[in-house]
Amino acid sequence: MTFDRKSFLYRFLRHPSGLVGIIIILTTIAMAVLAGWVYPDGPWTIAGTPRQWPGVNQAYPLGTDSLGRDLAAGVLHGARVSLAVGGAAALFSIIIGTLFGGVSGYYGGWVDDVLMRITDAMQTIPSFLSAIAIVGIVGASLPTIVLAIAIVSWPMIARLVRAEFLRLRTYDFVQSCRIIGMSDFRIIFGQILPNCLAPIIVASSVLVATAIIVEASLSFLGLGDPNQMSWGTILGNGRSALRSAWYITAVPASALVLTVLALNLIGDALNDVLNPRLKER
Amino acid sequence: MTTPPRTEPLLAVNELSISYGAGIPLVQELNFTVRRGETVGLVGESGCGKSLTALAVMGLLPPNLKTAGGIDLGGSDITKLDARSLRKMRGSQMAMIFQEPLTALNPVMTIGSQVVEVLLAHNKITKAEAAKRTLELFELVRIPDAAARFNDYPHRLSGGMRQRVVIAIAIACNPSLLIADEPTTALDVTVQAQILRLLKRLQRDADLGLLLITHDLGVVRQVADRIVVMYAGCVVEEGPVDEVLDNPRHPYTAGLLAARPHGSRTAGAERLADIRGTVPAPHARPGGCLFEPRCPNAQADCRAVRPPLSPLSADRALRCYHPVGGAN
Amino acid sequence: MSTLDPVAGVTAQKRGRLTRFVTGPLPRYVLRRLSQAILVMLLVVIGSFILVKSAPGDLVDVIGGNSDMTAETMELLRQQYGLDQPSYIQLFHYMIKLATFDLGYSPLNAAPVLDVILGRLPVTAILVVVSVTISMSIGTVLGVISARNVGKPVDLGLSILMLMFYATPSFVIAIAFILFFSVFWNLLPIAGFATVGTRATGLMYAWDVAKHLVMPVGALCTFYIAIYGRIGRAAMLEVLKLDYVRTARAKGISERRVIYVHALRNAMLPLVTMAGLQVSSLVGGAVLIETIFGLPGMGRTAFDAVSERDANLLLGVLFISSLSVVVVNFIIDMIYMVLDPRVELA
Repeated sequence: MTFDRKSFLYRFLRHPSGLVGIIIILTTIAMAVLAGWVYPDGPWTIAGTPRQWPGVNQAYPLGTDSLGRDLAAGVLHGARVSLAVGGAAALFSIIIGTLFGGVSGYYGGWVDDVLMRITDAMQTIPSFLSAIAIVGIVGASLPTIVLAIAIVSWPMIARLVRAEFLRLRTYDFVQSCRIIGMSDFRIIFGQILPNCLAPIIVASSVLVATAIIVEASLSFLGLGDPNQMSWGTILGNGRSALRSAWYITAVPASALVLTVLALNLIGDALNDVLNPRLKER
Repeated sequence: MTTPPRTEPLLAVNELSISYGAGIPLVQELNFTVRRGETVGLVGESGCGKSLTALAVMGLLPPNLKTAGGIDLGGSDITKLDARSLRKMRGSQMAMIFQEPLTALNPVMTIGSQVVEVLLAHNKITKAEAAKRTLELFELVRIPDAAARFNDYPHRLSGGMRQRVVIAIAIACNPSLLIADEPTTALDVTVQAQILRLLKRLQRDADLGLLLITHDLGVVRQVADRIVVMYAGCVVEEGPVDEVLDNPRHPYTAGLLAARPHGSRTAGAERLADIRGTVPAPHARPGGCLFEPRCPNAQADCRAVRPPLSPLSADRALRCYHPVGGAN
Repeated sequence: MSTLDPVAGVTAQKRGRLTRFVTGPLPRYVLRRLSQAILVMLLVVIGSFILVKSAPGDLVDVIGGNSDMTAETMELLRQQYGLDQPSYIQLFHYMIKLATFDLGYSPLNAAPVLDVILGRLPVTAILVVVSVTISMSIGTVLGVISARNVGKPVDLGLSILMLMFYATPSFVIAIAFILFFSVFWNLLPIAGFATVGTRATGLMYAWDVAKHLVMPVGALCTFYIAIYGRIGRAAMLEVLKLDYVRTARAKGISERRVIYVHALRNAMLPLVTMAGLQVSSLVGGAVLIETIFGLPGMGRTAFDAVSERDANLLLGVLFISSLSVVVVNFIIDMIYMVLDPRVELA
C-alpha cells in the first residue's frame, strides 16, 4: 500500500468515528501512562472509608470500593493492564497468523490444505473455554493470559492474510521476483507482506478490542493475574456490592466499554480510509 | 418484413429526459413510438441510455434519477402514476426481458414458482390454476419436458432455457408491451437465433408491441420493423429498418454499420471503418451536435447549434446537418 | 416458498434433497466432515496433553489438586497413569482413553467426568440454541430495516445501536440487566435455572424456566444481534442490487414480497454461514453467563473445575463442547443446503 502519509492522517482525522475513537484511545493511553505518577501507591492501597459514592469526597472523584480502595487509582492502573494485554496479545496473534496465512497462501497446494484445516479446526474449538483451560491449568499471570489470548485469536488473521496472499501471488511483481530468483522468504516478507498491511492494520484494532474483552472476562471470573488490578477485577469484586454500591461496577464497565467502542470506531474509520472500495460494507 | 399496421401508438415516449441528481442529463428529449404488433429496435453503443429508457418505461429507474417529459402507455402516463398503479401495470400491461438470463432468476426459488408468482399477482386464480397455466407457458416458450422442469432451480438450466423462463414470466399475464433488453447478447449464437425466432413468434401471435434494445444491427434487421438509433442520450436517426440500414443518412449509423464484423453494406463506409474516439461522458457532452467530435462530416455549424430531429420522409427522421450521401 | 408452491410434489422435491443428503453422493462429504471432526478432536486432545504436561507438577498433582492425597496414593496413581513412561506413550494412552469417551474421574463431583458433563449439557444447549435463534431473528430484521432505509436517520440510529451492542461485553450487559431488572425493579429472578424447590410442572414449570432465562439469553444475544444486524444489512444491500430483484420488481409484485421473499432468502445465506462460525464462541460466552446467573450448565462446570483445580473435568468440558460444536456445524451445513439449492455436496 503506497499512500501519502499526510493525506492518510488527514482523511483519518476527518472521519468522525476515527476522530472520536482516537480521542478516547489517547485518553486511555494517557491514563495508563500517568497511573504511576498520579497514584504512586498503586491500586491496592486502602485509601479511606469504604463505599464512598463518587463526588461525595473530593479526594476520591470516582469513589471507593468495598474495601476502601480508590476506584480512580484502580481505573488508571487497570488501563495499563488492559492496554498491555490487548497490545501484546494482538501482536502475537498477528505474528502467528501472518506466518500461517502467509505460508499457506504463498505456497498453496497441500501446504495450504494442511494449514487451513488446522486453522479451521482451531476456529471450531470454543476459544474462551480454551483460554480458561490454559490459564486455569498453567496458572494465571500476565504472560500466560497474553499467550492464551494469542493462541485462540490468530486464526482470524491467518485467514485474512492467506486471502491477500492468494490474490497477490498472481500479480506481475511477484512473478518477476520469482524470475529474478529472489528467495521465497524475501518475496513473502519483503514483497507481498507490505502490500497486505492495510487489512492487517484494520483487523488489528478489532483484535486488540477482543483481547481486552477476554482479559477483562478472565479477571472478572477471578482467573486473571492476582497481582494486577484490572478493570475486570474491579468489576468482579463490585458484583457482590451491586445492591448498595452499583457505581463500583459501573465505573470500570464504562472504561471498558468506551475503550472497546473506541477501538471499533478506529477499525471502521481505518477500513473506510484504507479500503475506499469497500465503504458500503 | 411485414408492414406495420397503422394504428394509434401503444407506447409513446414524448420528450423524455432522464437526469442524474440536479443536472447531469443521461437521456435528452427522447421521442419514439411503438405500435401494437410492431417491433421497434432501439440501437446504440453501451452507455447511450438505451437501458435507462427501458427502465423508465417500466417505472423501475433508481430513485436518484429524475425524469421529465411523458411516457404514454395505453392511455396513461407512466411518469405520473403512483407506485401502486404502476406496480399493477408492471407484469400485466408491460413486461421486460433482461440481458443476463444467468442472474435474472432468483437462485433459491424453483422456476415454476417464479412464473406462478406473477400469475397470482395479477389474476384472481387459484395456485393450481396458476400452475397449470405455467405449464402451458413453458410449452409455449418451448421448454422441453415442462412438467418435470417445474420444480427445477435455475442453476440446473442452460442459459437459453433460463431465458425461455424469463420470457415465460414476461408474457404470463398477456402484456401489450414487451421490452427486451439485449435478450440474446449473453447467449450462444445458435441459441440466439432460437430465442429471436421465439420472440418474433410470440409477438406475432399475441399482437404485442415489442421494444427490442440491442447493439447488434444483425438482430435488428432480423426482427425489427422500425429502428431508432440513439447516440449519447439522443435519437439521431429513425425509420423503417430496411431503409435505414440499407441507406443510413446519419454518419453515426453509417459508422455502426461499418464497424460490424460482417463488413460494409453501404457506400462510403470505407472511410468510417471504425468510429474514432469514444462516446462522451454525460457530464462532458458537447454543446453542439453530440457526434461532432467523432464525425467525419463535421463542420463549423455542427459545433455551434445542436441539430434538431427533423423528418426526412413520412416515416424517417434524422438529426444531422451534413448527412451521408449529401444534404437533404 | 412452500406457501407458494402450487404443484404437489414440490415438498417431495425438498424432501428429495434431504434424502440425497442422507443417502445420495454422500460419502465424500461425510468423509470430509469426519476428517475435519477428527482433526478438531485431535487438536483438543494434543493441546490438553501439552497443557497438563506444562502445568506445574504432573498430572497427578493437577488431578490431586487441593485434595489431601497421601504421597503413597499419589505414587500409586502415577504408576496407574503410566507417568513413569515416555511422553509419546502417555499421549497415545491418553488418546485411546478419550476415543472411548473415558474422560476420567472428577474429584470435585466424586463422579465420572462424562456423567457430570452429560448432566449439565442440556442447560447449555438450551441457552445456546435459544440465543442463536433469537439473535439471528432480531439481527436479520434490524439489518433489513437498516438496508431499506440506508442513509436515513433510522439506519444511522440502528448503526449506532449495533456499534454499542458490539462493543459491550456480555458480562457487562448481564450485570446491567441484573441491576435494572432484579435490583431496581425486581421483575426477574436474579439467578438459577428454576425457582429453588419449585413444585410447578408442565406449562408453569416452563414459564418459571423462561423467566429465569430472559436475562441470560438477553445478555448472550446482544453481541450476536449486532453481528447479524451488520452482516444482514450488508448482505441485503448487496442482494437488492442484483438482477433477480429487478426481475421481481418488473413482475409487479408487492415491495414487501420483493424484500421478504426474493431478497431476504438470499441475504440469509451469509447469516447462516455466520451462525456456524459463531456457535463455538457462544459456547465460550456461556461460561461467563452461566457463572453470573448460576445456571447449572457446562460453562459453570468449567468455571467450578478451574476454581477447584479439577483438571480432568475442565479438559472434559473442553472436549465435549468442541465435539458439540462439530455436530452443530454439521447440522448448520444441512440447513444451508436446504436453503440454497445450488450447493451440491462435494
